[in-house]
This record gives sequence, structure tokens and C-alpha cells, in this order.
Amino acid sequence: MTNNFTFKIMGTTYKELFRLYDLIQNGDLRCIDKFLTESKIEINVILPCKGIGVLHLAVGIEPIDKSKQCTEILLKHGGDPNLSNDDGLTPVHIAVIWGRVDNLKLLLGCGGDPSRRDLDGLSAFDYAVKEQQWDVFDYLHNVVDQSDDSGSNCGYSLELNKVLVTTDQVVAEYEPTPNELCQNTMCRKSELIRDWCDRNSLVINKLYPTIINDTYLVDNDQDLAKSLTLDLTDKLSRHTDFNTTIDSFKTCTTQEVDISGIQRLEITDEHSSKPKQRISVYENFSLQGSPTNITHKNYNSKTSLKKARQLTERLFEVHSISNDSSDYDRAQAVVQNRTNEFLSSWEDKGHNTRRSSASSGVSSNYSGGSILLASVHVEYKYEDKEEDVVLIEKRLLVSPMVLPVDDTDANPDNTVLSVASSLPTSVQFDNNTLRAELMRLGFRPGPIQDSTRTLYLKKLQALKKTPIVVSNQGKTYSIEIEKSLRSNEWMSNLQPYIDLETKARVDFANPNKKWREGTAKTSFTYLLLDPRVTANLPEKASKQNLHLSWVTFINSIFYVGKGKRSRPYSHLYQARTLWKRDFKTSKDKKVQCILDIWSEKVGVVCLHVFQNVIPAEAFTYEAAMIDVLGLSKLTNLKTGNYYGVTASWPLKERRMLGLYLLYKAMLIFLSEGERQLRPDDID
Amino acid sequence: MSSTSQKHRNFVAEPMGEKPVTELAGIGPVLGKRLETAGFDKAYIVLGQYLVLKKDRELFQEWMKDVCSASSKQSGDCYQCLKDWCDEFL
Repeated sequence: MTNNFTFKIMGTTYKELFRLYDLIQNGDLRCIDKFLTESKIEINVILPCKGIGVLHLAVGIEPIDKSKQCTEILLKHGGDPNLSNDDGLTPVHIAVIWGRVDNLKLLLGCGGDPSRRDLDGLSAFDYAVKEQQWDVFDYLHNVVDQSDDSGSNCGYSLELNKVLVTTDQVVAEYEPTPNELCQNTMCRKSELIRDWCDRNSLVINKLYPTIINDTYLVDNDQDLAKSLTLDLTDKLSRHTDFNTTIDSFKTCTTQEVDISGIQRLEITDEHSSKPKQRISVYENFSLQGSPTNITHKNYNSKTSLKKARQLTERLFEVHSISNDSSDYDRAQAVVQNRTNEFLSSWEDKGHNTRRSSASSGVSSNYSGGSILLASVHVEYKYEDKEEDVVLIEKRLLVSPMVLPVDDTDANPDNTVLSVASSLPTSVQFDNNTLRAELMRLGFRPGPIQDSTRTLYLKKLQALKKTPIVVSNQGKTYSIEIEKSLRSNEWMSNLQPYIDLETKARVDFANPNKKWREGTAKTSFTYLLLDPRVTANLPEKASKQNLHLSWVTFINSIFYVGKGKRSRPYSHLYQARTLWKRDFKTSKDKKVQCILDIWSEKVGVVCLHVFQNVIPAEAFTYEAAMIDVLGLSKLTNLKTGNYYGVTASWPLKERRMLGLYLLYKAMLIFLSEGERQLRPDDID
Repeated sequence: MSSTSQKHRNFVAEPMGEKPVTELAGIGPVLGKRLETAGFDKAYIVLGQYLVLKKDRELFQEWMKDVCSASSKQSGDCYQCLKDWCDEFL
């Protein structure tokens, strides 16, 4: 009875599958998609008589573009690229045999395993050779088997794309002019940026007075505006001291005229405050080196008034509730200040969209109105012509650019403190953001309502100070990491770790040994970090203690790998192939994680460490780091291999080595700054 | 494990029904008054808050501190009282 029943179920499934099979064979894409969306059938089944699954079929049909689209549809509906038929053949094998490189890319991206062997003992590589599909062979070797170092000539290009200067209120975008780009090598480009910052901080500076004036205009505080103009004159004289060229001095003067023309800004104000006119104000500065684009972060002419009002209310709320929380004491002062300002300006003018610029809450001019902090982002365009891959690399420079508005010679550290001590940005969070932030820190809040909001705000502040070390996902790190997360004692005595590393390094430097893949020093180890966890850690690191940075750093790592110099970002190619085809899921955990990060409009943080080592050394470092982090915490599929003297070490020493390597990696990360990689179509 | 107060045992012994807040362990006339002013006149409303905060001890005590300036002893007693009641009746 039961048997009959099952058989019937299987019967219908097969019937539907055979229909799907026919649809695929006819290449009727729309029907296939409709069919799969409507009937939820299990497609990872080998069809009787045919001896293959539907994905096997889709990979191999003619014409090629139909085949590609079919494959894509099936994979999106959960097709398994590793489904083997009775001969052990998987769709990956079929794609290789038929030389379908595009299909192969999709299959591997979705977790297809090219090293899997069929019942004849042949892997995808073997088939590529056997069928003389050299395109496929090249692809497999370049992207999948990164151990092949034959093509060590540079396979990519890296171009400076643009520079973004961001402050609380404004984003200024600079694009390099062609002559600035002239064939600089990669490392020199970063110097170029630094130079550029130094050179142009004067020019950039000049933009800010207007903006600040703006803010003050809103507050209707003539005195401040005046004092600001005075400051500028001061600055002007200082510039002369610095022997700036007469050219820039002149621009400064013209600038001066513009700035002192406060009335002018007011006029635009009274007429109407359309964004267009506002921009035109900036366009007046036809300065050399002025940005191509300025955007006001919270500028929105229609809703800003409403927003500002809401904000005031919220600020009031915080003000009234947070009496006893010491964290908010200082904040209160600001809040009170701000709200007073809001109210006074409200009474003056009925509606003025300008206010939105004041509503950004924490502006750094709180402590005496002296300094503006601007963070500098540099965007590079990474291009691999051979593989047709374009990625955008965003580097967040560690040290923020200090834009002095008056003549105090404050050192950067002070500035940082003055910002940190003002109103925490979290006060402005709406309930959803607050929830997201708490979740990010590993806390699961209940409903956030008026009655619980303040509690959760406090909780967030507390969590930021002492994050939850072990997240409750049931996964654990190795003992060594757990210990290191609990206390920071080990950081004060690193000697045993250093000894271990030296031992390993000396062994790898021995040229008389034969190493796997030779002794060309072209390899490195890389870590992939989740930017949603790091949240630009290098910038914060100077303000918090090292141990806290360590905890965040460890929590953010999701993949450890080994790469080679010729294609530093090849580990992102698979994910990018899928991204371009609109995939949102993949069976490969690493690719899935990258896709998740990209769909939140941020780039994966890619940290290359221990550059220029021989492959065996890179493999060893990779293995040590994977071991110390624990496979369950990572998206890596397998643990690595140890070579040389480390191969004979006990597990404890290997983990210690891994721990120290991670520690070094963090220091590199903190000094280098965050680099986020994303496909070119995300902004 | 310290023994619990008589008030605690009384509260945990039966469904709370319409009991006023002052029946909760740790909440005397003063705190009871403050809670009432804040709108928490019945024990079940406090229970509601306790549940909304997902039975989280830290958050609940923080809330008690905010809303009626309870000491950590008082809020701890109240928390324990609600927790035991929930274990029994929820």
C-alpha cells in the first residue's frame, strides 16, 4: 500500500520532470522559468532512461546562448552542480566536455567541484585535456587552481578612479586629471594621493568656509559668521607664511570675497532654496582643484523641514529621559544647544530648507567651532582584461584629513577626541537602524518601541564599549583565540609567538629544500573581512584600545586564502560572475557571503598580508590561520597544509603561529586602512 | 541560593490576576507609587514590559532603574519574582 503510494508520487514527479526535460530540449526559456516558478518540483533527480538530470541537459544543449540561459535559470532554482549520474558524471563534467566556459563559470560559482572524479576516475581537469578544450583548461587553472604560477606576468591593471572627501555634511568628489595619472606604479599612487591631500588641503579648505557659513546662517548667528571670516583672514596670512605660490594665494583671495558675501547666500535663501541654486553657489568657485561634484548628505528640499522637526522632537525625548546615564550627559549639552538653535531659527523664518544641514546633529564644530574632520576615500578601478572582470576598490585612508578652520594648531589626536566626546550618532538612529546595529553586535533585541527605545540606545552604547565576545551561534574558535579574546595579557608578551614565527620563516628561507610549486616569491595570504562588522575599524582603532579592535577584527574574518601576485583579486571572480547574472544564492558558503555583502551595497574587505613569500610558506600561513580560527567560524571548505618545519609541530604551536600571524595581520590592517572591493555596478 | 521572601512566595504561588504592582517582590509603596505614575498600575503591565524585553535581566533592571529609580536589589527581586512566576504559569 505504502509502496504504491510512493510510487505514484514519484510517478508524477517524473512526469513533470520529463516535461521540463522536453522544454529544455526545445530551449523554450520563458516556459521553463514559468514551469519552475509554478510547480515546486525536485529538479536534482536523475531521470530514468535518460540517465542524466535536467541540469546535465541544460549545460550541454545547442545553441550556446540558450544553454547558458537555461543553466542560469536552473541554478537559480536550486540546481545542484555536483549531482552525479550513474556514471558519476556531474554537470561540471558535461560543461567541460562540451567546452562551455560560461556555463562552467556559473556552475563553479554555485559550488560546483571541478576536482570531483567520475566512476572512470576522471576529473574536470582530465576531461578538459582529453577533449582538448583548452579554453576550459585555462579557466580552471587560472581561477580554480590558483597553485599554477606559470602566468605570473601581471594579469590586471589598477587605475585611480576618484577621490572622495567626506565630512559630516558634505561629500566632495574629485576625479584625477589625465596628467596626474601618468604611469605611476601602484605603490606610488598611494603616495600620490597623500601628496595630493597635502597640496590640496588648502583648496579643499576653501570650500568649507562656505559650508560652515551656511550652517551658521541657518542658526542666524551673525557673530559667528563674522568671527569665521576673521579666522579666514588669519588663515590667509598664515598661508603667506608658508610660501604658497602667488597663484593659490590669489584664488584664496577671490575665495575670500565669495565668503564674505554672506548676503548673497542669504538672498538665494530668501528667494527659494532649490537645490539647483545651491549648487550654483558652489560652481562659482572655479578654483583649480575644486571637486567635480558636491553632494549634501542630508539635503532634501521636500522633506527636510519635516525631518528636522522630527529630529528635534527625538532629541528632546532623549534629553528628558537620559538623566542618569553618564554617557549622555555630555550629549545633553549638545542636544540642548541644538534644540535651542532649532527653535530660535524656527521662530525667525517660517520654512527654510537650509536647516537640514544643521540637523546632521554631531557636527565637529561643537568644541569651539575650530576644526573639520574629513575622511578621505580613494577609489581604484581594478581591471582584468583577460577574464573580463572589473572591480572597484575603495580604500579608506586611516588618518582623517584635518581641515583647520581657525588658526589653532591642534594636533589630530585632539581633534579625534573632540569628535568622540560629542553626541553619539546612535541617538539619531530610527528603530530599524537601532535594531540592525544591535544585531550586528550580536545582540537580539525585543520589540523596540517608545518604552524600550532608550534602553536599547544605552545597551548599544554599552555593547560598543564591551562587545559580546562569543557570539551565540554555537560555533566556537580554538582555545587560543578564545583566550586571547577574553583578556589582552598575551599582547604584552609576544616573545614566544615571535620565536615560533622566526623558526618557521628561517626554514622557508632555506633555498636548498624543494618546495611545492617552487621558490618564486610571488604568493601572499589574504583574509576576507565583513565590512558590516569592521565598520571602518582602522579609523576607529586610534580611539579605542587594541584589544577591542582585536575582537572586532577576529569576528569579521570570514575567509582565509592564499593568492598569487599576478591576479590578487581572482578569489572574487566567481562571486562576480554570479553577481553579474543576478544570482542571490550560492551553495558555496564563501561566494554566498560575498554576495550578501554586495547586496548590502558595500564592498568586501580584502586584506592581503605576508606579501612576496614562496607558495609553500603562504600555504602554511593560511593553514595556521585557518586552524586557529577554526573551520566552523570560516567559510573555508577545508583546512590547509603545513610545509617545512611546521609540518612536524604539534597543533598547539601551529595555532600559536596562526594567532600571531593574525595579530600581525590586524596591525597591517590598522595601518593600511580598509579596502573594500565591489563590482563596478554598485555605488 | 538565598531563600526568597514571603512576598515573593505569595506572588509566585498563584496566577496574578488583577494584583496591583505593589504585590510584586521588591516593590514597596514608594516604587509602587512611581510605577503607577508611569502608567504601570497593575502587576501584569510590569509583566508585559518584562516579556517585551525578552526576559533579559540586564535590560529589565535597567528599565526599573529608569522608570522608578529602583535599586539593583529591588529590581533584582522584582525580576526574580516575575521570572519564577513565568516559569510556573506561562
